[in-house]
Amino acid sequence: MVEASDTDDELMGRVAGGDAAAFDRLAARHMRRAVALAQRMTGNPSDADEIAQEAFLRVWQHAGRWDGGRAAFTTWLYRIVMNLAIDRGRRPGWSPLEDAGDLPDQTPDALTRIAERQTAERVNRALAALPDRQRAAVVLFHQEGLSLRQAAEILTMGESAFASLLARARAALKAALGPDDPA
Amino acid sequence: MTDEDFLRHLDDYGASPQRWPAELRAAADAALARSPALRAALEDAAAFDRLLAAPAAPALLEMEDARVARLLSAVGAAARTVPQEGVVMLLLGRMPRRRVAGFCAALLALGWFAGHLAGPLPSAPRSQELALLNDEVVTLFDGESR
Repeated sequence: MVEASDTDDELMGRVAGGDAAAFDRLAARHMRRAVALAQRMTGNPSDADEIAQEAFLRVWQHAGRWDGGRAAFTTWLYRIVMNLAIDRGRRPGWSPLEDAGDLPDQTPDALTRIAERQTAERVNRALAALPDRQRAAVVLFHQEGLSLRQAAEILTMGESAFASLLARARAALKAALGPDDPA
Repeated sequence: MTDEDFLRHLDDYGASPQRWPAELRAAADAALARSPALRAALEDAAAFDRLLAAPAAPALLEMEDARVARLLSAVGAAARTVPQEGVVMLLLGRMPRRRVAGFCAALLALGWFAGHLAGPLPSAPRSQELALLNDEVVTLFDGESR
């Protein structure tokens, strides 16, 4: 019997025993965030969908490997998502950004949205130009809002090494985006 | 923490000193409390942090329920058809690869050692050997001889 209040640990214990209903519950709880993380890394919704599906399939297949004493379920899930996203980015011919598409109108509100979108695209391009792990550091720390320790665990590195990685990423982004024009 | 130290950490980790490495936080708070210039620098850095975080926001807010439902349906169906990892892989998968390799090598060495301890297999008396061979020949040529 799967209850809404079941913790991730309890659900994972059941998933490891082959309980598909517990897996459904776990997937429902974390799918949105897994897709969002994949999309932040790839910049591409269809890639993000594939990555999230593959990540949850791996959770199902390898549920017995997860050890709640070593890492939170979300750390394990995010690690799988990040690894899949990084692997995808290394495929030849892969492109991280979607086409901007047509702009619908020229009203003042629309112009504001256009400006915001252009800024977002500029930042996305600068992010996409970073090495994989630097991009992952920015996504986890600044976009997911994880702590240094949590983000370091996901990337399987020490906290101080992660801090150095983040510092390099931020320096590269500052150089790419211009120090005096944050908007 | 000097002002220069603070500004360097601000560049490295962003405009939320409470998210900096734990050992820097108290000194960062003290530096901020004494220096208006550092507080202004923090404001500038916050603008840059908002810029980095902004492209992510629509992904979470605008993700369609239908899209999430389709993904959940797909992974639920897959879970009901794809088998889970076997027990042996489960046990070995928990170990680092080097340890698995060492474990396999130890098993091989143990088998070899046990084989040596046991010595050669006991052989049957010669007459029985001949009888067995003879039986085999009869069986083999049984159909031909008739």
